[in-house]
Amino acid sequence: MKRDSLFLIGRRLLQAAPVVMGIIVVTFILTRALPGDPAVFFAGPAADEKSIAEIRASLGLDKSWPEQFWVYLQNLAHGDLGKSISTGQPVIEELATRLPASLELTFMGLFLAVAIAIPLGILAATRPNSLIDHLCRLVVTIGVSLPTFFTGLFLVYIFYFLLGLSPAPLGRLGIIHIAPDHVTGFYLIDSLIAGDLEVFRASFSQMILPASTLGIFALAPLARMTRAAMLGVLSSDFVRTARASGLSRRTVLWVYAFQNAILPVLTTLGMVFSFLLGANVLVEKVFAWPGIGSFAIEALIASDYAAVQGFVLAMALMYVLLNLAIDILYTVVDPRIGLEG
Amino acid sequence: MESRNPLLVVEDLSLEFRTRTGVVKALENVSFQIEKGQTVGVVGESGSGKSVMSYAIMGISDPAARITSGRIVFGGISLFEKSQQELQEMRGRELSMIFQSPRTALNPIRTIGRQLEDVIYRHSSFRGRQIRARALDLLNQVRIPDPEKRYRAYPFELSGGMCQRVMIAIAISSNPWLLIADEPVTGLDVTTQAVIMDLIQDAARERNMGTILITHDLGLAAEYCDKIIVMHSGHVVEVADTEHLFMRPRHPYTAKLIGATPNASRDLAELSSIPGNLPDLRAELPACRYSERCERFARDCLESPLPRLGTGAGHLVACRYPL
Repeated sequence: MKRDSLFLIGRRLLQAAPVVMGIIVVTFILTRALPGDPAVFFAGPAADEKSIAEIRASLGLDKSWPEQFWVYLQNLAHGDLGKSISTGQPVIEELATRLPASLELTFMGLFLAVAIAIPLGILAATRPNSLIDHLCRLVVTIGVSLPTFFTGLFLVYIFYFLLGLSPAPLGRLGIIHIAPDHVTGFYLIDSLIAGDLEVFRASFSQMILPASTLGIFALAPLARMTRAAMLGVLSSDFVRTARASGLSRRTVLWVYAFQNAILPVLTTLGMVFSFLLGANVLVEKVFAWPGIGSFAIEALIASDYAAVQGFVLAMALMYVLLNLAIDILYTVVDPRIGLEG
Repeated sequence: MESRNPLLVVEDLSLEFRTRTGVVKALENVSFQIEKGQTVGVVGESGSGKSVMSYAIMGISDPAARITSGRIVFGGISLFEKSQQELQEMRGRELSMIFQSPRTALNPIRTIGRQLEDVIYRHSSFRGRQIRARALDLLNQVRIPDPEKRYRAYPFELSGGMCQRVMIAIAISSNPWLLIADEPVTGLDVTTQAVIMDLIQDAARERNMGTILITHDLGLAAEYCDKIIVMHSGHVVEVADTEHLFMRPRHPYTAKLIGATPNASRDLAELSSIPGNLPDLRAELPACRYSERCERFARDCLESPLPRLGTGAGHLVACRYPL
């Protein structure tokens, strides 16, 4: 049974290989199709034709596309994503330091969203047309209609500028604090490992506004799906059976209804997580968060081919893993679903 | 026939649904009673209020339902005077119910063993290993082959007939006094139908359990029921012992129902259909809701109150001009 599952997971990962290959090809072509010449950008405004040509040759951009692609593939095979021309650092290192920052923020946002959306959706479904149902509708409408950069700026305006409750939106830690030793790259976890509660508190207060921004964005689809799924399940035959068997209200609600309603919520959660990775790009810009989103924007503006390719590839791999994780969770929750699908 | 200590008395029960398009008068002045150990059939076409009535007895009516008059007395206790908590504890213990389409009536993502355990845990003092032993015993009682193995099965891994056996096991787990079977064999194949019905009948006999069999299949009702209640659009139109009812139906609707039921001695061509449809229950309704479809209609059929004629031996008919 267990070996079977491992085998199936391995097969699912293999099935993802063509997708990843496709992404490698498409990003390679797209980055080069974009306007802007990295050699010109890199050489600076004072450079002449000759120095630009030299730089182009040193970057390997004077070769034909198929040649460049072959070099790129060979480097990829050695785990080398190339060097970022704007920072001078290997792309893989840039991603490794910035990805935890983005992931920590995303997880925090997702956690806030789930912690509010699921109870809200359940309460709304069990009391249709009550005050809490209308509140749920209001929250959903706000969540879908406010763009993240606006929510972010709005929160900064209220809680930093007007009320002074939160620290300046300048990254993961204020200047007076030193980042904890790198273990997971998540400051909240690393500071606890280091036993430094002061840094934990500081990084938490830096994170709360951007995480709320993401949370408000993620709340809407989750709350709506939870409500709809619960409404559907609560009117199902088997919940009627559970009630007719005299099971307690709590058992009916949690064991019978909620466990069935969680399936579509799980699907939505996967989708929302990938939306959040996208929404990160803007939120990181607003809060000067040193994540991969802000890195990608800068790289795109500078026509930093290696950085953009590395970013897209990293995201693609994350989507693949995320979908696999969701599929595995599905099989855990629902015995009717196998991994073969 | 009618004893002093009936198991269940439904008296003058009226129930309506408040919907956006108006008030649906789903049940009106429904009265009947059931003795201990008796099997009573409730027949009538779809929409006649059979299920609504059984949900009202179980106390699991839709939130939009309002009981506007009457009372339900079960084992000498008036159910409407009980608290929600008390009713919840009675369900599954003293009154149980099984449903149509057993495969969707069971939780799809929980093993049948766990579902059985949930109910045993709720209603008995068994704990730990005893619960499992009791659950296996029940699966044996409903004659599920290889219960140890089926115990860990999910509903989708079992046939409809097997799922209905599990439903019966859940329903009889606390030896209830009354079992309501709402179309228990509709959708099952004929051989399975007989097996399931025999199972219900045996379980009822062993426990001296009252049974309400809701069905639109008169043949089934004739075979298994002591007494039959005929319903038409929220009214009880006729109540009689099974034999009486089939020998001598008094209500024109009952006669039509019997005429519309196929059996071995009758050619399909001899079957007649009942003209018209059920009336719109949101509208102002005449005293006799069958009057629009009735061949014996006379003007005073529309006038309240409709007489309820007793013709001896517990035979009741709600008709001004019975057959």
